[in-house]
Amino acid sequence: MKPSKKSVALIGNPNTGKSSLFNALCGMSARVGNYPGVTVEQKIGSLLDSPDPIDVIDLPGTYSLAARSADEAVTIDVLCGVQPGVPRPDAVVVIVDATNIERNFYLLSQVLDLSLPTLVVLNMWDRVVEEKHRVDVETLSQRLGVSILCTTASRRDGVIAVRKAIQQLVAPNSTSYAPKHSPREQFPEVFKKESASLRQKLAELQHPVPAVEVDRILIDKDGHFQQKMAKLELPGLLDEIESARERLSTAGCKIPLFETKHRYQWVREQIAGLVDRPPANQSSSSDRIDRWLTHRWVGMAFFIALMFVIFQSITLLAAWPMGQVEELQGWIQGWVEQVVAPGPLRSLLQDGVIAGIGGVLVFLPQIVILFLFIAILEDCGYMSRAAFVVDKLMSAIGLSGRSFLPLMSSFACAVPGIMATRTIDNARDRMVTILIAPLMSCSARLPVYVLMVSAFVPDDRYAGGWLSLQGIVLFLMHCVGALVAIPVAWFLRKFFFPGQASTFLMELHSYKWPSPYVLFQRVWERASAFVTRAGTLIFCTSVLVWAAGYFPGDTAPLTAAQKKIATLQAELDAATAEGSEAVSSQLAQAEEELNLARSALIDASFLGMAGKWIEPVVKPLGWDWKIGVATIASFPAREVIIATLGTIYSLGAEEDEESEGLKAQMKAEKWEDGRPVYSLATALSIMVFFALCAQCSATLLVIRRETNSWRWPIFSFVYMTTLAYLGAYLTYTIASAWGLAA
Amino acid sequence: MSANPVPLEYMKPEDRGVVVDMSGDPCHLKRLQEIGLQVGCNVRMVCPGKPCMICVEGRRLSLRLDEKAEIFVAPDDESQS
Repeated sequence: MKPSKKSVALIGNPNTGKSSLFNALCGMSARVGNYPGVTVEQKIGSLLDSPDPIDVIDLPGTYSLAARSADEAVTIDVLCGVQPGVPRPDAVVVIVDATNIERNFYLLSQVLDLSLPTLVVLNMWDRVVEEKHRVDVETLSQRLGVSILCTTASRRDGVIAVRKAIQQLVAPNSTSYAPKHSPREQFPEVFKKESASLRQKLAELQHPVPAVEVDRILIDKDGHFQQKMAKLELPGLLDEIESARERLSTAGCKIPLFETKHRYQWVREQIAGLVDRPPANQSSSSDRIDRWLTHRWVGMAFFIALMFVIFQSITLLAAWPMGQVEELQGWIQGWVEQVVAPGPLRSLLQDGVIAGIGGVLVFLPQIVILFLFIAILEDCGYMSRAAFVVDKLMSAIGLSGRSFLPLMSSFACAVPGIMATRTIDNARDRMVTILIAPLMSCSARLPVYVLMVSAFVPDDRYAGGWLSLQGIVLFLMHCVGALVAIPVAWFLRKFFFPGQASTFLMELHSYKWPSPYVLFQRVWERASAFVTRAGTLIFCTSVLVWAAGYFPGDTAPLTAAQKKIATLQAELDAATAEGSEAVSSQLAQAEEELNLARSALIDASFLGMAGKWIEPVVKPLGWDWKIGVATIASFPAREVIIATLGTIYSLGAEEDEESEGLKAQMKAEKWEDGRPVYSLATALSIMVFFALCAQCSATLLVIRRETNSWRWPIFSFVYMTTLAYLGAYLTYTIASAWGLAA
Repeated sequence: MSANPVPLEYMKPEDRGVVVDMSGDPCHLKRLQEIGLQVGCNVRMVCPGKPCMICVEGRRLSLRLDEKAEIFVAPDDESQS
């Protein structure tokens, strides 16, 4: 039985304003998830102002239903009703760029073949009016046999009519919207015959398939549906498909090009005399900008300069909000000290929870700023130009500019970056891109860099204070992963995924002002994901690390010392001027005891025991056992290191008025011989390790899901961890030789 | 009179023309046609090279063709002058 809730699918070419229309139709009700089993993003919203609930499914933008990439495969599967977990939509809304009807109708012609109730939305109607196109909407609608509406979704013009039309489209007794004819009727007779006989054969093999899918099996060589058929392992089927194609070819019906020929012919017949537009090939202001931004050298220099400016501004802009968060953290810590009695609970709250999570949340401002910059660049149309500029470089290592966008979004987070590789149609390119994406310096590394840079790189300013050494180092750290990725990609492409160099084809939309709504949505999404992680994964690790650092040692001396300090403090407050001196010296002695008790406790803890064991391994990198332990604890998620360092140092901290904050505690850490643990060389070695290491379980799981095998996440983990160790070792050795270890 | 067709990669910035022939791997060509680059459409070269940027019926496309693919364009008379 069909579920009573109706659904419509929204489909269209990329950059036709599909997302704006979706947002206008559904408001903020969209639920974003994944289609079961694949990482293609599924966006479903409920239609606003509708008495009966109607789901609107936003399908990935595509030029054609001939599926080549993973997201195109989902699009056609949803429309055919074979995508698991998604019932076949009751109707389709095809969104068309009204200024480019001819090309957009190609997809429409494929959709009409599905014989679902269909509504055509001519979007960007404002430009049609502005540029004085002529579109006879009424006659066109009569010819096609479907209803056509005109909208300007970005301004919400005409959206109410679309909502009403959708309700009529899915109404139980509506027939008026079903397409009158199917463009595939115009395919050559010999093709229709072959398609029908293959369909019959499949039915005989107890595998009935709709006619449209059979067409796709025949037309798309090695396409999505052919691969599906291959998985069924029906005897002789693939040979049958191949020989059918040969017969068609000898009969003059060339697979697959006859499809575009016939469909465009159909489109021309439909729009003949109804659509006129002024010649569109005039130079525009976009062209003038493009001439510079996509220039071979100027474009590249601009891209690098832009990235540099972004990382400079992150250091400059985030300083103030970061200080505020730190202050708040110190205030809460002081409050806990007053309210909770000394003992395990206070230690858990203070050293585990606040030092752990607070340490990570301090970096929220930086991450928001980074996401905002990336979102602006994507939305204004610059990113696709940057992809064009780097295509030349990428083609030298066997990849194409297509891989650039997923890699660029990996600078925010590798998980959406790896998911974005689904738009790459070349399978080998896609694999290489997936495997190098985790090397891009994601925002979770940013806190590690910022902590190390702000604590150990001198705050030298140049160019009147606008250029900071810290910003430069931060920028260089972000380059490390990208630079290492170049030989890695070349190696992978050469030895693991050999094959022809891929081609590159991408539409570049005109420059536009970024939409504040889109920017807010993107930044909000990523920032809340970061905070959620701090509240869940990082919270749990912090508590575990705290427990490992607190038990099983004898906590009695610590608690006794804390109690003693509390009573002495009270006495000091109450004491008269002459008595206070004696109490003060007692207090200082008690604080000494407390520090001894703290370091004895952490040395005797599980963490301390593990640390002693790990120290020989990390010593060549210039690390002590505490850094080693914190690094190991941060393998599930790299930003955990901030939390674990916070917890470890808070547990073993020297109680000192000035050592508030993790940075000061790190600077105060000493080796047994009294040398400070942290030097610039140590900080650099830690940063390089984190730049290259695969410390992110979410990324590894996504790689597993995308490649459908455990082999590749294990491969990524091993190669990245090895690179990280070697990189950190080299960095420490070279930096020490330069005298930076002092 | 329209001049002889030239391969796409010979076009200079601001050269205009009409696509008269496309050849190469059928699957590759089909992709080009689906995105709107087909015989009969107007093109203008924006940024030549590999990859190049062209303007097809007002849409900007960036493309790097595979080695076997050839696209021939009949230049417009006005862009010759």
